[in-house]
Amino acid sequence: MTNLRVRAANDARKLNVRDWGLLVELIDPDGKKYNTDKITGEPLKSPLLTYDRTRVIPETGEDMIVAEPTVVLSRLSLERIPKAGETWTVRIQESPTSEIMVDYIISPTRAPEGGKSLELIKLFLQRIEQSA
Amino acid sequence: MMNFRIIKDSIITILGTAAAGRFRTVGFQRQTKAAEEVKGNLRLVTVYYSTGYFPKRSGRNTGPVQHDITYRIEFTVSSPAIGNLAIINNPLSTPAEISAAITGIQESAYLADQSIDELFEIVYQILMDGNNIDMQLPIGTIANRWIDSIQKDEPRTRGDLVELTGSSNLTLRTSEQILGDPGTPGANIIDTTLDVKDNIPNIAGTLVDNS
Repeated sequence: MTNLRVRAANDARKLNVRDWGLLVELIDPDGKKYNTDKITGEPLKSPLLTYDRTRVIPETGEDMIVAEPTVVLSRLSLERIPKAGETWTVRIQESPTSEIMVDYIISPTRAPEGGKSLELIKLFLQRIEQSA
Repeated sequence: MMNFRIIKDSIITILGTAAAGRFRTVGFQRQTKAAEEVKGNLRLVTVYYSTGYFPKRSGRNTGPVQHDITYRIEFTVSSPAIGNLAIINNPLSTPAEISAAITGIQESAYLADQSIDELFEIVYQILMDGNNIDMQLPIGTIANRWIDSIQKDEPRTRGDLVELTGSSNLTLRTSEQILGDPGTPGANIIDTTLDVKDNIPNIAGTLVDNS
């Protein structure tokens, strides 16, 4: 079945593999790695990957840039959709101009957002470091 | 200097000496603290003079006076999650090994909670140690040293870290002398010239040089 909504969802998925997307790798709780688009087999990319967020310091009213990465992915690109409460690791580019991959986990205190309107899912990340 | 300031300096010295790289101590209230600045062993202990009471008693108008002091001790820690990334990112690891490593990930809020509990323990044990009953000041300077409460706040997400804060009160009693304000150091010259009709300047008047 094709209608405007299906077209919109597919367009959103295709954004994943366009040149301006940033590389993303996911590892599910079973240890399976997802670094390619489910449909095309191209490297998995995020059409919207933000590293920082502007927050207001309540005491002074000043803006402050806070490191708070979020990753948006098309659900159509994923073989398995992360659910709240599951522990997934997420590797993203260190910065848009660096292809060094750095590690995060999906925040255990903030459930993925998004929805089914455009079949997008937004993941909130938390930093992870090597255990001693 | 009044005793409450001397005691605060002594508390900070005691904590700073005993910290041994496990935490940092500052002796004033900071407006804001970045979560990144208090991560891991950079965790922060803030000590400051919070409240003081001077019970009024007859015959104490000129001192010494009793001073019941509360020092506020605030704790700030933050933590990322930790896990065995060497296994998770190793291309040779099997899915079972990676899954086990993911299962072993410890989340930030848990680690921050552990960290602040440990910090409570360290600071409590240092300040309530019998060796510090006089806060390393001359015997009799302070009395009734006691940590009467410890409180932990809610963990908060700060960017990609989790921050946790807590506080405790250290109460004690000391005696303050009232010596008057010594003023500020500098050129203490008082020069007054009387404006008297037909007076030759600097004949009448007062010149006091206290410098």
